[in-house]
Amino acid sequence: MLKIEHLTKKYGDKAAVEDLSLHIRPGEICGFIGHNGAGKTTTLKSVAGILSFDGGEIYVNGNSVKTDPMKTKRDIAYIPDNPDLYDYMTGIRFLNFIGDIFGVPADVRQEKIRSLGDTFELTKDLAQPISAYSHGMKQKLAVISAWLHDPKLILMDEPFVGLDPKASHILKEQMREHCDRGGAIFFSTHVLEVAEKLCDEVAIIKQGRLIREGTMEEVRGDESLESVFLELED
Amino acid sequence: MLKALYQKQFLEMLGQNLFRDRRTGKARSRGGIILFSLLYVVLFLTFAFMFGSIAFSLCTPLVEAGLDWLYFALIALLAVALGVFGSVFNTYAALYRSKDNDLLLSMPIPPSAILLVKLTSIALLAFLFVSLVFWPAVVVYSIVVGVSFPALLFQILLVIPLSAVSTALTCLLGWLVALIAVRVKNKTFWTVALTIVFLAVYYYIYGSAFRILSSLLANVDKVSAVFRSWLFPLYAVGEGALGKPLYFILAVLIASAAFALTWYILSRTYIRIATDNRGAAKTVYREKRAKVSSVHSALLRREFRRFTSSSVYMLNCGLGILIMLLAPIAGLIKMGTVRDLLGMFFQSAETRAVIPLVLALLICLLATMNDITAPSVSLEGRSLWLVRSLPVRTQDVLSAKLRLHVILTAIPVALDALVFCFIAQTSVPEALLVLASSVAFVLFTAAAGLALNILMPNLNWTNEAFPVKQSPVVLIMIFGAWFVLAVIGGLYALLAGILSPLFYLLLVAVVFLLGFLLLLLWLRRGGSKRFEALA
Ligand SMILES: Nc1ncnc2c1ncn2[C@@H]1O[C@H](COP(=O)(O)OP(=O)(O)OP(=O)(O)O)[C@@H](O)[C@H]1O
Ligand SMILES: [Mg+2]
Repeated sequence: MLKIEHLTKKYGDKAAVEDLSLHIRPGEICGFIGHNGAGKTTTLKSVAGILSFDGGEIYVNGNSVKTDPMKTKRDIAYIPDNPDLYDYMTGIRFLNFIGDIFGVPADVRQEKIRSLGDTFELTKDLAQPISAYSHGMKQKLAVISAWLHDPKLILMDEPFVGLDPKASHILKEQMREHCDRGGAIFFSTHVLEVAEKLCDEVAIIKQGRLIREGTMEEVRGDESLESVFLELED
Repeated sequence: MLKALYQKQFLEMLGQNLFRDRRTGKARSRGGIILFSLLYVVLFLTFAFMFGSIAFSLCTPLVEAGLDWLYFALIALLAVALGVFGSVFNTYAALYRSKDNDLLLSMPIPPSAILLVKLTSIALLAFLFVSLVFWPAVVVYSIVVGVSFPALLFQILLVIPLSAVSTALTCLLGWLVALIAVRVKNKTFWTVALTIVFLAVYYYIYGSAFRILSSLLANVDKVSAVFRSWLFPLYAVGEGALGKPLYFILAVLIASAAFALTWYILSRTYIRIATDNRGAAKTVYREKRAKVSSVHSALLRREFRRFTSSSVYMLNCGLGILIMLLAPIAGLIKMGTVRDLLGMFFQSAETRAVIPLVLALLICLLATMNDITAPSVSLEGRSLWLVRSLPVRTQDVLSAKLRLHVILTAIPVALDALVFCFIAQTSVPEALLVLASSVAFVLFTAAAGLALNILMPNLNWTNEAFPVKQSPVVLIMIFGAWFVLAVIGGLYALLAGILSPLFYLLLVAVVFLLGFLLLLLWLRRGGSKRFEALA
């Protein structure tokens, strides 16, 4: 599903991500952990096609992000760490905009907006301008818009920040369901307990380099993810 | 603390495009800075000259009538009015709608300090406008009457209290708008409507200025009495400018009081207004049948929403729409007079042939009031990542921006072209040529504004007013377009013997069209690349 090969991204002459390779298969949830400034956001944005990168290749569903960005973007949904959506639209207009861009048919769209809106308890606020949303509400809207077009790969940058416990719980369920249907998820987080419970795979990045990667069991061994992570950080 | 706040404000105002490239954070090249500074100097000089000549026409008659003080009082009035006019569009947004308001309010800073910083930055803008009017008038007076001390010193310094008064007036206006905006449902609409009413009144008074002036001169005694009583502050300014210390001090005191009072009034309600969202009254969502549209129209609708959701954007970059729609109506109502005037100016058949060229230039001039593309990239701001992550081609995103400008400008332009040609009784081919050349001009300016904004974007604003009002792109687009139109007019004067006006107009249309196509080509390639690299 997602194949990152020798990804290198530089800001100026400082490399933010260096020679990073990672494979994620359909049905897998991969957690991406690392210290602040390790290069998580940079990697996710490169996969999403937002940032251009200096070296390596990224394939989504067999298509190259570099040469075929339209195709890969169709298969991806990206939720950034700061959901800066269009303040000048109402929630429902935003969802319709996303629906139009991905060509989601009217009845499918309607059905999804209804069910997802109800699940995340956002339906009654959909007529309000996004500028009046709280951080968590924006996050929920971003999640709904991501699920709206049936992406194959979902990229999320610290998706649980700002969500209330109930919404986090629902999001975790939705993530699981998405992968059970054959999709894949690649998300960054600082909450190791969540990663431990939710992920099949885990990737640890330090100063732009991948230092550990594999199934949760392989990486963790007998210890907790936290102690593995802290050991690796030293 | 105040120092830190001021630093932030100045970084935002000045650092933005002039000295630093926002994208790379690198300082601009020296050549770039010199070019920009030159642009601003030329602008400043042009306006100074314009106001100097207005001052000159006032100065001689008033000085002859022994009313030197009235000269300065009137100039002061003009200066304050221009200062108000120059910033009234964005005071509301600048005062109350900054994105960093919450951050600032959360810090241990009294609202009055936040407000003082914002007032000062508005005052700086006012100072620019006021000095643009007042200092040339001082020079004119020195030439006509002569220089004396301390009068000259007072005259130069008076700019400061006048800027303070002008700031107080605009901010009170902005505050009134805010008070009303808090109470109504459709904020954007009412802000635009109120500002347009204000503009109409302003232009009405401005338009009858000379009538007012001549009646002033006819009733000097009464006027003096009014100035001494009701308009005493202006009287004090007038007398102060003549070197009377007592009046000068009075003028300064009155101005300080006005500024302080405004500061006080605004501070008291600042938090409430800045954080109030009542205007966005809660509307509960009711499911409606979703309308499906194509990617192209979805992108266009997005641009349209962006435009109509912001009063600052509409007023600064779209006022031309209103004027271009009103102009033909006014023209039709006064058709008789206009035709008489045309008959007077263009008597021979030879001169009548120039009419289409004149009409085309006039329409293009009106069209320059719309600069919708010029800030459109900057306005993406922090949500630029969205279009980058969606499966849309950059050229489609850019083309939606272009289309919005062209639709909103070319339709009124076409209307103007047809109606103006009807009024001027041109032939059909002439009318078509006027239409073609002005539409070509609209296409060209739309693409040029977009291209310039891609080259000089500002995505890190805290307030919409920055990319819209204080962006060099908008300035370049307005004055650059005027310059181009002047060159077209001037060039014709040179070539008049060689080219017929119609052929010349055709040439102009072709050149603009070619320019548009070239820009379009760049936007599809280099421009798209640049846009993509912004995220
Ligand atoms: N626009 C930028 N310009 C220059 N350097 C940048 C830019 N964005 C990120 N960096 C640098 O790249 C490195 C990786 O940043 P990144 O945002 O990917 O980290 P992160 O792992 O997401 O951190 P966090 O956990 O804090 O979100 C950092 O050293 C950062 O300073
Ligand atoms: Mg990050």
